[in-house]
Amino acid sequence: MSFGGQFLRYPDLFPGRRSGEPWGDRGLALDVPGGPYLFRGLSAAQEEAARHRFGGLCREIAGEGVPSAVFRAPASDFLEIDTRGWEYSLEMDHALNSVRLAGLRLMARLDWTPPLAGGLWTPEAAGEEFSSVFENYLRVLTAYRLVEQGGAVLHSAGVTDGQAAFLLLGPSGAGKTTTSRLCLEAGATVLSDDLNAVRISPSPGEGPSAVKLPFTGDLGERSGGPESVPLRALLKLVQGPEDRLRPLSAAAALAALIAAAPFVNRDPWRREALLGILEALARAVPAYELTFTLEGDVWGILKSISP
Amino acid sequence: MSPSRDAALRALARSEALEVVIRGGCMAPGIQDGDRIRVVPARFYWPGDVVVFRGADGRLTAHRLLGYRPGGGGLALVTRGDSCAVHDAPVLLAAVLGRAEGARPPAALRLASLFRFAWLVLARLGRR
Repeated sequence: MSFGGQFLRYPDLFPGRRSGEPWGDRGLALDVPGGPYLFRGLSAAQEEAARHRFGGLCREIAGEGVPSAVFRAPASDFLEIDTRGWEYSLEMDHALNSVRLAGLRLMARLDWTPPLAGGLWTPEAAGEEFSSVFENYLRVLTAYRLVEQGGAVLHSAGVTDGQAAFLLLGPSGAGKTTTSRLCLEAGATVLSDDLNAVRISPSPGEGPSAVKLPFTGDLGERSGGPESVPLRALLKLVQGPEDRLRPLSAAAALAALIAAAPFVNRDPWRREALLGILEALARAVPAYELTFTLEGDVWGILKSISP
Repeated sequence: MSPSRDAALRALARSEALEVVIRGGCMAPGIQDGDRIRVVPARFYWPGDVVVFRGADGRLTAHRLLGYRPGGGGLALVTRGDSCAVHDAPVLLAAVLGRAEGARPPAALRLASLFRFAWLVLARLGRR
């Protein structure tokens, strides 16, 4: 199936450039890692939906940032999809200077002109439907933006005691939310149970850090807690009959990291840049395979990893 | 280029075919400079397959597999671009990302690859 065929009625009419009819004249800045991300062309109801979803991360637009424009798209442009029992993943099409996205009630493109700028087309006017479209787009935008800045977004559970963070890597079903819950019950703070960011060198002389992202899984948003914590270890999650920690080679760690880096890892034009970042991360931070049981002391195991 | 990068990419391609951008025109007209192809790893590559590997210049290259020869303590691949005049330096299996996904080469193309390989072997024997 060619690009867009899963979601769009007329994939050939996918916008060739960032233009269209804006939903309104409202704007919003989002202070998410890699940002601020500046959204223009929102209606009042869309702005309200975004503010409701992202709360204190939202503010008025002031200064520079990564710009995105929001445009109207007719509902008839999108296929009706029965989402029961269905795992959602965006369709992406990569080119040298752009990335196109198609998803549930959304079309979007990222363009490097050369600075990164985005466009989002949706028929969703307000409410959770719009905030879902908005978040799906923002997840992709953040992933690409962080790679530009020498970081990455990782499918991971991030847990911390405030001094050191641990990223537990794995795809859906690997146990990210489960281990997050276990650590939370044991007194840890959870950054996110689904997507966290890493920065290799947040400032000169500092090592890699785990950075909280407002993208969560079943555990939901955790308010408060640190935004960025030095990263002590990477852990590849494996469910098994016993609790066990096994060191991973740098090569195995890199394989786990690239598999856990959504969106950009499938982009043939930008994957090498991502690989370079993840290779540096795998060299700088010890990695382990963590086999865990539901009865085990996951947080105790993590805390036993010495700096 | 670090071998661990290629190993990581191979592991990634095992979960879902990996799209790569091919540079150079050695496989023209079938594969043009800048074309994107999807790559899947295999347990064994057959003569006639288009294999994708990391070339000496660090770029990903897609060339036709002709056969195998000893090399690097095991087997190395003998490859050539369809429109290239000469074959490549032996390609170690560790450098191979996978083969181009899609239609399997027809039997005639596989046979042609094998004949080319046989010709190379005979030419080498003749020089000794």
